[in-house]
Amino acid sequence: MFGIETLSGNAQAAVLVGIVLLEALVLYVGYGGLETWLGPRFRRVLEGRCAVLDALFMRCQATENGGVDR
Amino acid sequence: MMELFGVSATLLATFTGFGLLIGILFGFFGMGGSFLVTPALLVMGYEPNVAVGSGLAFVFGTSVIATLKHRDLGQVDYKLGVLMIAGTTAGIEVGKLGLEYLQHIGLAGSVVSVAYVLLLGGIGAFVTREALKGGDDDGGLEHDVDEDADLEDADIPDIAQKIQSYRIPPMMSLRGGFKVSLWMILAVAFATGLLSGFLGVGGGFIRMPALFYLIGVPVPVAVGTDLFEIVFSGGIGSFLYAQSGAVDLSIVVPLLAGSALGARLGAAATSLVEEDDIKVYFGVMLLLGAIAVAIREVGNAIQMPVLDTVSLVIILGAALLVSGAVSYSAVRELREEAEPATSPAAD
Repeated sequence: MFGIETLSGNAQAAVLVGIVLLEALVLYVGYGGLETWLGPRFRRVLEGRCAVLDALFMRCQATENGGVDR
Repeated sequence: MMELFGVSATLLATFTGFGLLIGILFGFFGMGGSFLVTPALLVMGYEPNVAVGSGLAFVFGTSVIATLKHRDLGQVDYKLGVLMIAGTTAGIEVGKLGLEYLQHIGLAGSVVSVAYVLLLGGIGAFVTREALKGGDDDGGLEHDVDEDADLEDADIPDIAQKIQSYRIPPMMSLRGGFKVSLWMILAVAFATGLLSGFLGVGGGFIRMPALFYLIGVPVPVAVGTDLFEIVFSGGIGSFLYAQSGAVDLSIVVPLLAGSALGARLGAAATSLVEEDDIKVYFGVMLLLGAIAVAIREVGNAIQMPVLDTVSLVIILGAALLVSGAVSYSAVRELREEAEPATSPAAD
């Protein structure tokens, strides 16, 4: 996978661990951003206050706190 | 069949889905997800060293993400962490050598499986017993970030007080204002490293209670230090296994992608659902995991491949059942919370 099979021994091991570390950092940042962006809408869908399609197209009503998502 | 990076899309989707289930469990209970991975890979027919190596790499990635959550809370004792890393590294190396020797004489699969059955069964029985007993003592320690934790209020368990009373020099001062012998710390670290290298588990679910019960480290510091240490032990363990090509990225990458998302969902659910309500399911899930590995071993012994499938179904079913119970309870609580707020608005 990712064409690293041609490397050998320590180099391959270091690249493998580096890939897992990089993925973890990307996932931490990426999912963190997604949570901030989609979290409140996802929560309103789960609460039954908004339909999935409405949430996707940002057509949900403002929340009772004046529209502040968080 | 569709492929991505030379790997079947179905396999990638399966691992991502499995990772999601494990992530929900890890995010919610703060423990337990990682030691379902290696048995599942064993049941799926991967070689023991690939199952263990890939399990370690998965633990490494998961602990990086979890440690990032703790970094600003000051809940890491770096001196203790470095000592734990030294002891654990030696333990992992010995555990890995032991596993390779067992593989050489053809006993690795059986021994790793039996060890898993005992470990999962033992912890599962303990958690289930504590959950059924009820009360405030939840039978385990949490990995969750606890921002309100007060280190000064920590009670030191009796065993830890006893161990702290052994003053074999050099003595180390640790966070929480107490001293412990360097040798005691290294012994605990070595023992947990041995399990990590041998079984492919991060060792956190053993090391963190060990830090608290044996050394007397306050729980919040034990949690943060444990996570900090798992990053290194998982990374070193992954590296050692990767040297012999035993880390399979087609397993680790999708598992991690799913579990990182699941961990966020599970962590969000902790603020909605009472952990004690679900804990009994968790204990049962561990017991089912132990039964699944035992069934696979019996299948191998009596040459009945169908038992492998039964075993895999039990493992996936158990993870699905418990993460489903967590998700269902969280959504139900969300809706109950939302009702009082939405009713007046409907007028």
